[in-house]
Amino acid sequence: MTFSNCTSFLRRSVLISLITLLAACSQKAETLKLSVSQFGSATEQAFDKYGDAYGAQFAPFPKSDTAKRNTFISNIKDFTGKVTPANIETLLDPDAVKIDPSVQRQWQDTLKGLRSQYQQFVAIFDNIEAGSALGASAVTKSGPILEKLRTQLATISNDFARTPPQFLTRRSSLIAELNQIRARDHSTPETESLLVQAWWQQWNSLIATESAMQADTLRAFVTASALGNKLQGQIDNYAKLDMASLITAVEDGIKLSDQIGKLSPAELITQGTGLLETATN
Amino acid sequence: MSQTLGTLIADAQEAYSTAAVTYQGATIDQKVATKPDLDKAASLLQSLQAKQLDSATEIDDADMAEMAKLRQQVNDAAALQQGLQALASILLKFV
Repeated sequence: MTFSNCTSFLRRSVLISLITLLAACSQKAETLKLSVSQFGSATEQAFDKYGDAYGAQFAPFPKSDTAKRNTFISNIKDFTGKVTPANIETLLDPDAVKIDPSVQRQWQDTLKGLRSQYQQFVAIFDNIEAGSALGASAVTKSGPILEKLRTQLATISNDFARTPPQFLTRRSSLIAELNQIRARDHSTPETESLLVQAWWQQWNSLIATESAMQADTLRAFVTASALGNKLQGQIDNYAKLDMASLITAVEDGIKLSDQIGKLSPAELITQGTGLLETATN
Repeated sequence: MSQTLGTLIADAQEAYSTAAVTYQGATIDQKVATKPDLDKAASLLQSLQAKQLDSATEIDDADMAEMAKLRQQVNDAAALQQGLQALASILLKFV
């Protein structure tokens, strides 16, 4: 082999090694991106459920158009005052709760702001597979931000578990209905008993739906927090982790979501209130 | 602070429920007269819940700026790395 051939072989080897190294880094980064996506989707889902749960607290029982029309006709018949632009909405639909627009905006802005933080964190990794070798330091630097995002999730879960939203309007409608049943004169005691039984079924169904809504929301937050904890480990040890460990972490994330899906409401409350301790330790 | 807000929220939920039961059982005249107050109670509860959610926030403007910076860093690295890869592939044909 001549000197020239030898130099050419060396150059070729260096270039092939460089291309192979970049490809390996890219695969590792792509696997980390999968874990980031898992975390991102879980937080999106948690905030979706959170928004729905709070939105439902003042929602009345759904009414058909006929029922709405009949209520209005009856209200107009019984109302002794003057109809004004200020009271027409109450006469049309007395159960509809009107939240102060500034409060509504404050609530929506806070929720939107929180969502956007998690979306921005996920966006750091949008192109990570292409910039895997030269952008690796960005992965490490994202660690402290993820810690804060995890603490936020833990605080929100803890607060939700302690004072979850309830179907306040629907509950109060049913309680008022029970008071009416009790106040009315019934032709026979059996009639009253039948009405109370029917009421009891409605109440149980409402409470079951409410509990399911609370448990689903808490489950989504516990899942997002657990995936966040896993991701923190991967990010903090990114330089040391090999491909196999990262793939295992993605698989663990899928198993974790499945396990949390099987927790009972009581177990979810315990997990939800315990998250804050875990996140801040 | 979150704990105090939690207590206030629990109290506001209870107060709203009691008021809403009275409202639901009232005549339409009474409903029209008391609806603004009931709506105010609902707004107060929602406002407390918004404060509680806001108090959970740990991320500040500096963190948001840092996230944008990190994203840019990754995108710049990607552009540079793709250029290097292309260059290496071209060079490989000539060495």
